[in-house]
Amino acid sequence: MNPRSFYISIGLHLGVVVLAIVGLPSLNRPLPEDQPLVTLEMLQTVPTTNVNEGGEVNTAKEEQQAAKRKQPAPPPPPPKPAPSAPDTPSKPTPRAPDPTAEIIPEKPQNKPKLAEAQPPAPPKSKPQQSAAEKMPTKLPKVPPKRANKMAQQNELAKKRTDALTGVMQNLAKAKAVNEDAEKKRREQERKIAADKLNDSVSAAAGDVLKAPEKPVIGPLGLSDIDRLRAHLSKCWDPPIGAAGSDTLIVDIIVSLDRDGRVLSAKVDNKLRFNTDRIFKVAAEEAIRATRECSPLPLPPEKYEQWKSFVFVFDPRFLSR
Amino acid sequence: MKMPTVLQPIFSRCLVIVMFLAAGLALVSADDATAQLRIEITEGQVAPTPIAIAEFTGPDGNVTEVGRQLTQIISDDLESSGLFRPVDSAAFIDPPKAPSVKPNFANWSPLGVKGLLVGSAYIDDAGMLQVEFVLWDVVIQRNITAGGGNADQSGLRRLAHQIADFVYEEFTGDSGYFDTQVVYVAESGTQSRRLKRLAIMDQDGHNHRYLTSGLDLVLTPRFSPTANEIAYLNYFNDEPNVYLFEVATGRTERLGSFPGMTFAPRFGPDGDKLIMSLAQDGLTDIYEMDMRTQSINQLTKSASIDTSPSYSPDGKRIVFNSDRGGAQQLYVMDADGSNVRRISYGDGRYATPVWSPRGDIIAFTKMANGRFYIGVMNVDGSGERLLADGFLVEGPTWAPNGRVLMYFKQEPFDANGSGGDTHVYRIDITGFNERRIVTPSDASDPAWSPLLR
Repeated sequence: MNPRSFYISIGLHLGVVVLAIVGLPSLNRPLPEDQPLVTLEMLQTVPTTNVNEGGEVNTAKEEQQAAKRKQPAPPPPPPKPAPSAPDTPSKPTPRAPDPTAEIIPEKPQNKPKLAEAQPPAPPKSKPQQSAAEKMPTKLPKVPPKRANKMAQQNELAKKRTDALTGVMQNLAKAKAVNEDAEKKRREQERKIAADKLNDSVSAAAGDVLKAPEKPVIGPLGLSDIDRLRAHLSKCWDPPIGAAGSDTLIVDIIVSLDRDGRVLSAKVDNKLRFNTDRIFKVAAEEAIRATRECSPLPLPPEKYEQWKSFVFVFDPRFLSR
Repeated sequence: MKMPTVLQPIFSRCLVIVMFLAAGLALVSADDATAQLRIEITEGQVAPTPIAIAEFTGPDGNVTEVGRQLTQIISDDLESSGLFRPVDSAAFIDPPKAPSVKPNFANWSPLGVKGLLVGSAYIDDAGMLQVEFVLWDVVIQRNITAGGGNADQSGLRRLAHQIADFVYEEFTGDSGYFDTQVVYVAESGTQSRRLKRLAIMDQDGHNHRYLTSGLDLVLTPRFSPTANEIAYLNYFNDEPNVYLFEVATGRTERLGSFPGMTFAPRFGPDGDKLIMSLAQDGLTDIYEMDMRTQSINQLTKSASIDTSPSYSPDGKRIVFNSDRGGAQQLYVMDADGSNVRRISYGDGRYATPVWSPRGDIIAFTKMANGRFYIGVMNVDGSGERLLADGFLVEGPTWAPNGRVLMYFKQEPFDANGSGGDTHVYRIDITGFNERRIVTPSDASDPAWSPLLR
C-alpha cells in the first residue's frame, strides 16, 4: 500500500477518534440557549398535551426552542427535528441521497464553530434554514412524517461529512482551542444528561414517532410531586419534642409497583438505625407513614420515573 | 516512509481498538448518572398518635376485672401525655382474646391506629397478679415488643404504669415517666394560718398519702436520684433543718441544722452529694456537702446572693442564679466552682433553675412585667421559650425523661384574704398539654421522682 493512502487512513481513523471524544455528542444538537435546569429532578411545568398540528413529536423543550427560533419557513417541522434528533448512537445512518451539493458552500462558515466544538444555535440554524428552504422541493413527494425523518437523517449525514472534512483541514486549530473545548464540553455533557432524561421520557411514553396523535408525556411535573407530598403529610406523625429533632431527617428508599403500591420502604442509614434509638423510632414512623399511604397517587404513564425514589422526612418545620 | 507490512494489520487493529475505547469513554462520560429522585416531606400531622388498647383478658379469653383496670390506667396514662389518642374500644371490630394470637390486621387498620396493645391479666391461685402483653405495629404488621410480669395485687397500678412506659418508649424513642411519684407540700388553712404538710402521690394523682403531720413548717422537698429518699426543709424552733425521709419505711433522719438555709438541698446525680445555698454574715453562697464524710465545701465566694443550685445530669456542671450582674440571672459553673459564666440575658429576674435529665435544656422561673413565667432555655442560654405564665407560677421540676415539667400556680388573693388557690400543674416542653393535677387540698412545691425501680 502506498504511504499516501496509509496516511489518509490514519488520518480518518484519528479523525473519528477525535470526533468520538470531542464532537460526537455535539453533532446532532445545537445547545438550548438558557434552559433553567433543576439539577436533581429536572422538573418542568408540563403542559397537559402537546399535540402538534403537523403530528410531529415535541417535548416542552423543543417547543421553547421552536418558539425562540420563529422559522419563517412554512413547514415548522424541519427545524425542530434537528435539535431533537437523538444523540443515541443507534440512530440509523442517512438513507436517502441528499442535496449535499447545495449545502457544501455553507461549510466554510461551519468549520470554525465545529473546531471549537461549540455550535451555537444561530449559526447552526443556518444549514437548517437552508435545508428548510430546500425542503419544499421534497414535500410534495413525501408525506410530512417521513420527510421529517429523512430530513433528520439528511441533516445528520450532512453534518458528519462536513465535520469530517472540516476537521481534517483544521486539526491544528482544534488542538489550539482544546482547553476551551473541554470546558464547553463538560457543560454540554450536563445538558446532554438532562436532554437524555427528556428523551428517555419520550421513549418511555412509547414510540411516539409511530403514534404522533398521542399527547406527549413530559417529565414528572411539579403538580405530581406536590400531590404526592400532600398525600404523605397526612400519614406522617413527625417526632415532636424528641431530643435533637433538628437532626432527625430520615431518608426512606421506596420502590413501587405500577399501581403505586409500596413494594418496599427501607431506611437509608442502617448504622444510625441500629445505634440511635430516637432515630430508629423516627425512621419506623417514616416507614409506617409510607406504607400507610400506599397506594401512592402517581401518574401510571410516568411509572419509569417514579418506580424507585427517596422520601426525605424532614421534621425541622416543627421548630420554626 | 513505508510501514513494515507485518505491522500494518496490527497497527490498524490498535487504532480501531483505541477508537472504540475513545468512543466508549466519550459516551460514558457523557452519560451522567442522574441522582435518584428525592422528594422532601416537610409537613406532617402534629396530632396524638392513634392507638388501640384492647382490654386485657383472662385464660378463658374473657376480659377480667383486673384486666379492665389495667387497661384503663394504661389508656389514661398515654392519653394524659398528649402524645397518644387511645381509640374507643367500642369501635373494635374483633376484640382480641389472647396476646399470643396474631391479630388480623385488616380488622385494625380501618380504625386508623398505628399500634395495638393486647394483653392478659388475671389473679392466679396464689393470689398474685399475672400479666402479659404484646404491642403490635398495625401498619407494618409486626410485633414491636412484648413483656410480662407478676406482682402483688397492690402493685397493679405500678404494673400498668410500666406497660404504659413500654408503649411510650416504643413510639417516641424517649423513656417513659408513668411509673413515677410526685412529692409536694399540701397546704390548707387561711392565708394567715397556713398548714403545710409533706405529701406524696403517683404522678397521676392516685395513692395519695401525707408524710408529715403539719406541726412544723416544711418546704421544698426533693427526691434523691435513687427515689428512695426525700430531702426537705423543716423549720423546727424557727431553725431550718434538713431532713431525709425514707419513702419505703417512713423513717425520718435529721441531717443537720443549717442556719441561713432557705431552700432544701438538691442531690448530686450519684446521690452521695448535696448542693445547697447558705446565707452567712449577709452573704449567700453555694456549698456542697459530701454525705458520707459530712464535709462541706464552699463553691462560690462572691459579694452577691448565689442561690438555688442544680447539678447537670452528669454531675460536671452546676446552674444557679445570682445577682452579681445586677438583677437575678442564671449562671453555669463547673462542679468545682470554677469557670462561672452567665447564660441568661433577658429582661426580668430569673430564679429556681433546674437542669433537664436529658442534659440539653434548663427550666427556670422568670419574673417580668409584674407577671411570673415558667420557661426553658438551652444550656448556653440560647433559645429561651416561655411555656406557662400566671399571677404566680414557680418551681419547675422535671419528669425523668426531660419532656414534661411540673410546677405550681397560685391565684391572687382578693381583698378579703380569700382566694390564693394553689395547685400543681404539668406541661409538655413543647408548651402544649397543660393539665392540673388533682390533689385533696392546695398544693405547692412539687418534686418529680426518677423512674421507680
